[in-house]
Amino acid sequence: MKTPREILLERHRAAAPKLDAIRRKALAAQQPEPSSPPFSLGNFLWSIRWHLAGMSAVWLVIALISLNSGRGSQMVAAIPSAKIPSPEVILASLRENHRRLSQMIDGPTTDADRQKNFTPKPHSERCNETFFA
Amino acid sequence: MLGVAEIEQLPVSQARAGDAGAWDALFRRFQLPLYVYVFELVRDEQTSLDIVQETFINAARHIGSLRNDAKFGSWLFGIAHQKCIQRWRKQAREEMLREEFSNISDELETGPDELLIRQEEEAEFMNLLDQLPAPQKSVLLLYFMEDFSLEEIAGITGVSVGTVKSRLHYAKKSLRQLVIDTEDKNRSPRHSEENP
Repeated sequence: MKTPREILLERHRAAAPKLDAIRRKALAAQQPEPSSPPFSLGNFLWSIRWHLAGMSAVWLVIALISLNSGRGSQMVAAIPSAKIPSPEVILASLRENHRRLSQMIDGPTTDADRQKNFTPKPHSERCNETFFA
Repeated sequence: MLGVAEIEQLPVSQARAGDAGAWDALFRRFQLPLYVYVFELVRDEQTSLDIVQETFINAARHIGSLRNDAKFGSWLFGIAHQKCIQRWRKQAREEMLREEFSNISDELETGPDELLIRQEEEAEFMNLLDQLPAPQKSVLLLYFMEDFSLEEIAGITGVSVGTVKSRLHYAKKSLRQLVIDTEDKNRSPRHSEENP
């Protein structure tokens, strides 16, 4: 007579070879992976080739944009200085524009009223005010 | 009473240290009992082999979660049990709903090594075992194969000790026709001789 354990073990003993194979696989899975091959620049660059391609494309776009903007600044520099209006002329045109806007909004105004609203001081006086404020 | 796994000295501490020989000894010790347990639950050879392999690999990876080296066996069976549950979760849930809990005495009738089956009735024993519901079969197998304590079986199967007692009681009750208690056998030796 046998115990239930003996009966059960005997019933499945034929699976022992397969279990031995499983045991060996499980033990092999525990082994540390073989050391990686020594460092190679070529392999490293190949492994990051897509990153390098993307970065190159970005830098190319930046270079093209900077080239275009460089052409624009060159175009500005090519404008003769005589054609650039002086600050006094710019100020006078601003005053004229302000007067016209005021006329459109509030109606016609006298020169005295206009000067009350907008009488910018000379730049030198404004700078002194800034220092001594 | 010390169980099978508690009597022997298992090289668990060496295995923790990464000793491949220790792991080989541990796997060799438990591979067949573990396979028997899994096969009787899932009833498929290849699936059982896969589960055993996964159990070994998981055990090697997560040995750090084992708190008590003496409980390596029950811990290993617990891993295998969880993998079996994934295979028959639905069936196990249905069985649990139909179970009736009753007051079971704390004392078990006999130990697993004291239950003997006649050779001519081994096939009938296996047949009855196969017909048991999976939760009861699981508990009975753990009890027979490794003589785990009720607490260990409860830990492996994830149920309460009371549930383990209940399942074990009904499982052994269904096998009672075949199981010969050694006490009964010893009480009437003349009867067994006269009526083989």
